[in-house]
Amino acid sequence: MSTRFPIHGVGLVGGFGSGRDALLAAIRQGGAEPSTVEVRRDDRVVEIPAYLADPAPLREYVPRSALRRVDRFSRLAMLGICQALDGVEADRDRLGLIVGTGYGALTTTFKFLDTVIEEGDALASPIMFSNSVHSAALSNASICLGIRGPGLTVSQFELSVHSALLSACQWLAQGVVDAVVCGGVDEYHPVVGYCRDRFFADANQGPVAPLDFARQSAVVGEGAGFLLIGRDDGTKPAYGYLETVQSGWLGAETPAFAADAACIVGADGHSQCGTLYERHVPPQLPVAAYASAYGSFPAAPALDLAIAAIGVGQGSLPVCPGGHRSASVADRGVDLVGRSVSVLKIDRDERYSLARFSP
Amino acid sequence: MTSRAARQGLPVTGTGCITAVGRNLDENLAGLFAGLRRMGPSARVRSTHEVRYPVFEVDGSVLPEGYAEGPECLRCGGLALVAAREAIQSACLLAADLKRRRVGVCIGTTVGSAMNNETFYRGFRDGKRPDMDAIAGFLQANPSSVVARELELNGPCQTVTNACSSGTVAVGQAAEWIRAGICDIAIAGGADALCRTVYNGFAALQIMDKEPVRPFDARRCGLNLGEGAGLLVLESAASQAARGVPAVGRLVGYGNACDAFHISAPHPDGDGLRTAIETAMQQAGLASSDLAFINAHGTGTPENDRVEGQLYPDLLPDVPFLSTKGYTGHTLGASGGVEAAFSLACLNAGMLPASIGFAEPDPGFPGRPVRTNTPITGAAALSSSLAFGGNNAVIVLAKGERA
Amino acid sequence: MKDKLKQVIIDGLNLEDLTPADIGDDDALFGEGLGLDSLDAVELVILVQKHFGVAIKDMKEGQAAFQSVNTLATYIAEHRQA
Repeated sequence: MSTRFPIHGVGLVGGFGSGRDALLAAIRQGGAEPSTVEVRRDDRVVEIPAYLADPAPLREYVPRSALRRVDRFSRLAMLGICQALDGVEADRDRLGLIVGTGYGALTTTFKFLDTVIEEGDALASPIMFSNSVHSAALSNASICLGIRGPGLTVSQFELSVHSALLSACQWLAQGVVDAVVCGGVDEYHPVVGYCRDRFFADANQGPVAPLDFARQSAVVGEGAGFLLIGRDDGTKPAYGYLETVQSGWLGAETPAFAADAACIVGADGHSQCGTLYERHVPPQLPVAAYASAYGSFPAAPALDLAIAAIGVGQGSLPVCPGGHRSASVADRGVDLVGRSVSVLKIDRDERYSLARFSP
Repeated sequence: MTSRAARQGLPVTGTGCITAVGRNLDENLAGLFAGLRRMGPSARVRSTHEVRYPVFEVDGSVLPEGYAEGPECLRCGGLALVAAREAIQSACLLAADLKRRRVGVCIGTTVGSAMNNETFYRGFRDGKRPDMDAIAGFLQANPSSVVARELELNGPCQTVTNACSSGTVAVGQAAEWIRAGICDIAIAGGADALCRTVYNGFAALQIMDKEPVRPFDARRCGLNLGEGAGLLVLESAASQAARGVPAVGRLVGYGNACDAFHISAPHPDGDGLRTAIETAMQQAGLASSDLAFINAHGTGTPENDRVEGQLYPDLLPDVPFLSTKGYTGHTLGASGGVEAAFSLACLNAGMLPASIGFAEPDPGFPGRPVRTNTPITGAAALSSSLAFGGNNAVIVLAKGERA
Repeated sequence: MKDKLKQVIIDGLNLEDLTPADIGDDDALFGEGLGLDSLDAVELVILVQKHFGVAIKDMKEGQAAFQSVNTLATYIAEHRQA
């Protein structure tokens, strides 16, 4: 059964700002300018770069009063979801929602623990607890936007969003929904910065060089990315089609790259996984990696998927900044007219997922 | 129930379950029919609340090595492994069989994916140099990854974090993988562990009962937390036929819908639950007269039980229902998987346990759960889960060939 | 004390657009009026314990006390002695 799913909208927020144009501008400039965050290292403080996101533009879509109890994690997701839905008619009773997240609502979870530690168990905040569950982003979005179709929150670290996408395809193929908003969200938190420093010390300083596979150069980030995916009715969509999502274990099988024009790899400067991309992507296949626009966080593949969709929609992949692999997209960009592009993510257990987009 | 509907579903060829009641499904069923309630203050989860809320705790001695110590999230993986091994054995699958096929894993959880380790965070806050074991543990703890890694499975992996509906959603989602041909076999359900952060959170919401939980009872005032895992082995019809293994049951319907109402209270009229039930029943091709029973969510909170107690007599009239949470507590992400395993077992046994904890009917809604162990003759059952934040998930299960 | 109570409600429940002057002593806090709900109610229990040292053990007691700033202030004053 060759079913393909049209992409009608994209939503993007991260260190580059928010929206498709901001992301493309950052990529054209060779990357986004990261902020600086402080990380405690024993008795002193070090500064590391971080691609921080700002959910403030959500106010253009949702009134402030409706966001009274909605925390930052949910707001980042909701901004991505609102952008993906912007300007498109979608029956909210037949609209599915799938959110992938690696770490969940970190800020609220740790704020909740702060209340427990500082005030005692009996003074823990119930509102914070309600927002600390991974599904809070989906729940808040569903409530604020009146989305009543099926809902799914997936937590699979860096494979969360690809896993979410696989489920979106099933719902659409079965016809239980007419459209799905699918993507992911993850926050930065000082605990993440602290852990990165313990694991990688000064290698956190960047700049990120994602195609330098053997080197640890990851820069921490946060953000959200969502696609609005529909069912094929013959009309040409703005962002091409999602063809397939494959997943498996590299210990038992190889991903099928088919006749893709290029592959956006989820290399984000973490050398442990970087070497896996080098080993498993055919050397003649042009690769691109855009982590210099948004950094490293589990839901970042949502942004890769959005770039692929934007690419097939406009007929070319953006020039990939700072690569060194000879078949990279670094110098030329890639012509996608009539060609497909795949998006690959591999995790530390060598599980992979490959999504394919075509015009 | 029509035989056409029975054939439509996906075979369930194995089941595994561990809760406070028992270490495997047989022990659980025996406990249910004997009216066993194994609850009390937690041995592991300590808190400074005046009240020591009763919980339904699993005997940790059955956990595989490495999963009982360490952060609470890792305990979920251990519980999932115990249930997965039982499920695979009951499906007559050997390790070699699993490696030869594409086997997916879809497990619902709350604690298994949560980075809320208090010991680590206290050390971090206090400016100390906390041991990174808690973080390493968290990165290894994802329950679907644990099962896939330990059993060396090659297939899709998905941990569902839909709060209290996770286990039911995971079963439904895994079935969709099989129908789409993405894998031939899937291990699906839920796993969750008692956790201090969750305990404190529910206490803060004032929805825990200091007495043993009383689902649907007029005097109910909250839930008791529990822990455990319940997993099913789902298979394609072709795979089951090739292996010649009789089905424990069949998954014939799945519905999932959101209330879009409130972050911690269900829709007062059960709108999302109604939609999910209608979807699942339509997929199953069944009418309410085909249902032997409903395994309700029945947490014992005033609002949840009122919504279900109002909806079931209206939408599915004359169908007996019960909550099994009086035996297991609310096992959060595990509950949908545990209740799916229980429902299949009850269908095959032709018997329902009493909805323990219920004594006094609530005049506020017409629904009354079964008070005693009750023989049943129908061939299908509905199991429902209502999550925090308004997600509703429902599955319809049919009797197997191993009655 | 009523002004402090109003500020606690505003800060604790994130009523960003309000100042104590915007909340009348007799305004309904729940339903119509300020529009707080059951989740805000359990949060308010915690806020009252934390800022005024008064525990509301029973949500039925809480419901009566939470009608307005006036009723809540009275409840706090009555129970503060202990």
